[in-house]
Amino acid sequence: MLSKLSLRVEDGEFVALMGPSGSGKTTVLNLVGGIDRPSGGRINVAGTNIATLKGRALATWRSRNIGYIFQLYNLIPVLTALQNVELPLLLYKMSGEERKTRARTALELVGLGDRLGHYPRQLSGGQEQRVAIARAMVSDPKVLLADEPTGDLDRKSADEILELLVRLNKEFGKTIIMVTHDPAAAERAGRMLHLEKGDLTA
Amino acid sequence: MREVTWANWFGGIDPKDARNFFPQFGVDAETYFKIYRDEMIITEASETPVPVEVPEGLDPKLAAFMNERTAAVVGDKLMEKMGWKVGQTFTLNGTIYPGEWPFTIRAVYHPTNKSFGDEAVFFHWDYLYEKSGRMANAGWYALDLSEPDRAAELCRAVDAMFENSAAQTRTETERAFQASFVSMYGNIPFVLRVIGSAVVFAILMIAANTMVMAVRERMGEIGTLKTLGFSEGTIFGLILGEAAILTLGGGVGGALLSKFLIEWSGFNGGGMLPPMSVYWSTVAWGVGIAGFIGAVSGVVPAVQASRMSIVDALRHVE
Repeated sequence: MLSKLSLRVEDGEFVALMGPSGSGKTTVLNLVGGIDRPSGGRINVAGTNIATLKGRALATWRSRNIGYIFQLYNLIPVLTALQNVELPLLLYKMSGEERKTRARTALELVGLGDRLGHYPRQLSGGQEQRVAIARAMVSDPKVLLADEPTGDLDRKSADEILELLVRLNKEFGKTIIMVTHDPAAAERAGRMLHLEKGDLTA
Repeated sequence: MREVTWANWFGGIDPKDARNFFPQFGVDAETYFKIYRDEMIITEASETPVPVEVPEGLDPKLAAFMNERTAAVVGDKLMEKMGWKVGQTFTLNGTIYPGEWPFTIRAVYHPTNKSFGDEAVFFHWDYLYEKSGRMANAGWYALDLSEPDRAAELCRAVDAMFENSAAQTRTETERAFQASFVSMYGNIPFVLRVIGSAVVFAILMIAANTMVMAVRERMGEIGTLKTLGFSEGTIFGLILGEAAILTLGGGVGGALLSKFLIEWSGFNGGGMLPPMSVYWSTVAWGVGIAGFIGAVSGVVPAVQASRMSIVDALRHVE
């Protein structure tokens, strides 16, 4: 439960959110991403107070502004890497060819240009997470939210993912909020915040 | 009215196997085979020692049959089933008309209209009348109409003609007559309706269970789709669409398969049942019921999934 929490993240910032289990890290992420709703207060993200949005309007806003990266990747197992990355683009008016081109570009950007037709079960954990990152950024959202993106990976794969996130932040100017338990991962962010029993400390 | 013929149900049984049922009819051959000449073709027949003329309108191959009182015309499928040959004599035990009844096969027919059946035996009504000690009557009359559109009017006129006689009539179309024939064996339409309803209910339960399980197993995926920005309405539509594809796929496939299988096989319950055919309207009904099952089975899981919060849905990810 979060109460009187105030958090300001600048455009283009990379923030790591740390804290013990149950401290509310994921809840903060969910509130910023508009997948959980606050009982009160304001949440301004990308110029919109999303606390006032609901239903289809909130879903549309989310599809335009937020890219979400899950700890367990959450890829659709019956779809190929390319089809998984295409998914968010189904919500846009564009031709199938353009959709494929964009998804292919996103996968090439994360280094999986040679794995387009692979299914999630045919990929390693690190590769799956890279597909998930490609899916999160394919619609060019302003904000990327990552919920323990390296929590299920070995050190080497985790470093590769973190490197990718840093690149997305520095080269593409994405605002990133990353929840993590891993101090090494948090150190890659530009700013580190601690959440303890709903209180935020730098 | 072009022609009138009559026939009677014989009801004999095969002395070798009483359960081996096939229909036998005593018919007025001269008119019966004339009226039904378009419904069957004579594929095989005995030769006559000398050329014999047959009445006008009859197939000349029926000459041997027409000239022998105990002759019979047998369906080709029954011939094959019994291993009979043209010229062979077989005996039936009468039930309605007791005694042993020998018949000689003088012709074999093949129905050109499946409703005619291919396992029946036709023999001379005169033989039935005489050998039964003049006990046999006409079981029914068949009227060949020159203006079939006026069938209803003619039915009423015939019934009115015999209204005050000792043998009142009930005149109806051949299709209705065959349907009433089936009802002699019990209320088959009712039984079929009960079985059909039970099957529909069972399929509804199976489809609903399948959809509930499918949605439950993929709740994490639904949460992911919602996170990506898919709206509640889209999720609802996707799940309902899946249920529709599942049930309509089965419904369309099953209805078309039943139509073509029944019509291709020409199933008629060994000649006991009226023509079996599945109308396109019945196929449409089947598809409609399948669609209804899809809607009913899919709507509850679709509502649940679309209304479930993303946070709750994502908890289902292992």
